[in-house]
Amino acid sequence: MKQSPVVRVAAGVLCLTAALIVSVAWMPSRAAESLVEQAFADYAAGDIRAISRIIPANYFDGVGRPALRREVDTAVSRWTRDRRQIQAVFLLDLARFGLVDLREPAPFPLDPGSDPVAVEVIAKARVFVTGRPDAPGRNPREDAFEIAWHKTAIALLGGMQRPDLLEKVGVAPLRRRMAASPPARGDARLIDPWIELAGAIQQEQSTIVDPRMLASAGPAAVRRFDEAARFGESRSEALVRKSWLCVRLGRYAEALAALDALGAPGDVADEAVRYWSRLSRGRSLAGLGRDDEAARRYEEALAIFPGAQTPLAALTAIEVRRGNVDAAYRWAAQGRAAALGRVDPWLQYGAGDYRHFQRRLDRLREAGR
Amino acid sequence: MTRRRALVILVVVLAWTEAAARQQVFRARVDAVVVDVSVTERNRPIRGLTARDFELTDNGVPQRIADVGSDSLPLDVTLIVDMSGRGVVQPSLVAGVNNIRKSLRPADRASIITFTGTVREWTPLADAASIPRFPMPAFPHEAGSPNGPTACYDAIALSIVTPPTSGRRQLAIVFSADRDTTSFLDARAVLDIAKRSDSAVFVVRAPFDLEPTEAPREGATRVAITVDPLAIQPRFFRDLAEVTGGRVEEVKAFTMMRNDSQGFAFQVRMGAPLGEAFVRALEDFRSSYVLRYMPEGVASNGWHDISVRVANGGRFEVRARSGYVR
Repeated sequence: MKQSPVVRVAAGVLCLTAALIVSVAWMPSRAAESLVEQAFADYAAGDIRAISRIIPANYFDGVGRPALRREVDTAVSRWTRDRRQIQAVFLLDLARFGLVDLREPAPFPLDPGSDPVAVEVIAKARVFVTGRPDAPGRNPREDAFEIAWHKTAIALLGGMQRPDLLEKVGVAPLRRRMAASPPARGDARLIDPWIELAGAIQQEQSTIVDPRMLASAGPAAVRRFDEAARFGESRSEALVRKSWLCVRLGRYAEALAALDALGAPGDVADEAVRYWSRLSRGRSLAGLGRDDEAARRYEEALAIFPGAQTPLAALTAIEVRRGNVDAAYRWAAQGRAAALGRVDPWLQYGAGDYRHFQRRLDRLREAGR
Repeated sequence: MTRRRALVILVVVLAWTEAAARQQVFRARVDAVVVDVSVTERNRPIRGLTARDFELTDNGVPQRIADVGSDSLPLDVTLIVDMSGRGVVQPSLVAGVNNIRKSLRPADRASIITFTGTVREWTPLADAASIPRFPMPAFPHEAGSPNGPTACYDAIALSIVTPPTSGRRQLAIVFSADRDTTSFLDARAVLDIAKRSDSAVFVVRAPFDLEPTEAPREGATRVAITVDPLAIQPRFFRDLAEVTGGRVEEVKAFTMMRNDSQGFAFQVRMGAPLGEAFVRALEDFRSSYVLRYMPEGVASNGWHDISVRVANGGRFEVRARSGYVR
């Protein structure tokens, strides 16, 4: 059928208009997608601060969150077709910005280490990481990366001190994917004894964040630390955390027994765990009325981290109780003036694996590239 | 008994006496007991009372009050200020601390101790005139945890264990707006210290109301909490004030409105300023009476319950520390 020139021109105009409408409609979202992907390209090339460019200025007001959420969704769906390890690291780093770094510029930040989008990003990234083509056990290099990624993600979630989310987004899904030792039957799993410690720490954290949970959840957490202590890699920290939990439950003799199982103090390689063990032993002894010995353990803790306020506060209290007034004044004065120059590891105790987070992330970035 | 054995026994007895004496002394006045007593009626201080107006028992035994001082004694004031978490109240808090500076008399002294997870003596005990203006601090980012730690118990313990100075009265004012998350010491240990301390401890708290969901407002402050701190520590603060003769004042400094379902995001509406509460604590303590007595008919060691009342003062509210340790 032959069309008249007028019809052909009109059809052409219509097509052009439709194309224009479609392209205009596409423009904003394409631009938004490219922002995340451009930041990722720079990040993959070594510019880790590139992430800050995709955080909208109004993010903290809640206004910018939906846009970022959409951008991340789009990027993840595209990356699923062209999977790279560094993409998973990028997403974790993005979550870190939401959970940690972004709090500083906020005008009145208030317990600001909690951001719903950041937690969603971790959850999406976990699906991305576990959606790899091969099953666990088939590719040792992929297994090692995935284990390192999970450990880093759980360290970050631990730092939020939201044990509910640590369980829901971190530990619970991972239990289906990872085992402490190879299962006799069933699906192949990632193998790392650390998963037992991670689960116990999550349970312990619920009693730290809300001490009202101590009586109900504490004994179960003690048993989980016993489980974790069966494995060499986790043994020291599991026993020390068990002892502290027993102290909080008033089970001082059991706390001491857990520490006795550690062996000689020098056997504990992790400096923070060694420090915690001295503090916990001091508290256990004080609980049993052995104040002189307790004071010596606190002084040992102080020797590990000279200037740390925690053992100074403990020594102040024990000397007051012993009636050694002058000593109490001296310890308290030192405590008020203390300048450790680095973080007292006691402050990190309740944040689970967060004390390992930065080191794990640095390694992950290296591995991902 | 040989002379040598007698000498050894004498030395042992003297050494024991010295050690026993040292163990008993945490309060400054070993023989005389000094008690700060607040007498008010409808929150107004009652003035002009004399020793004859007070009835004081020590472990249930009536005591003769040697003398009654008034507000002429200079004060040593320790401000213990929580700078963690509830950063939203910081402008009001800074104003409160500076209000205290203005309310001090020339002979008074003060120190300011701030804490998050870490305790910091911002200014040691100094004359009123030489205390610098308390600045608006930067948000205390502590790399140990992305959520700011709070070590309230440890901070109070380190702050109130100070050598008392004869002829001066000790007052500690604690500001707290958050629950303790990281202290090594527990409430019991701090209360034990407080019982043996000379300081009266007043507490200013800023608990918040949590209102139902409200739609996010543009420009609203974004905040997040995990557990309602009110549910955990008010008992401790009440006990702390009670054993030391202080009191707790709660200021509704802000209201939080939840605006997501997961407990992440809140908005804040500012309420009453904190500054007046600090000054009220100072003036309340300054206007209290100072009763001094020599304990008679009671054991020399251990915990002593104190009870103070005003004869024929049924309508008065009388507040004093609940006891002392010798």
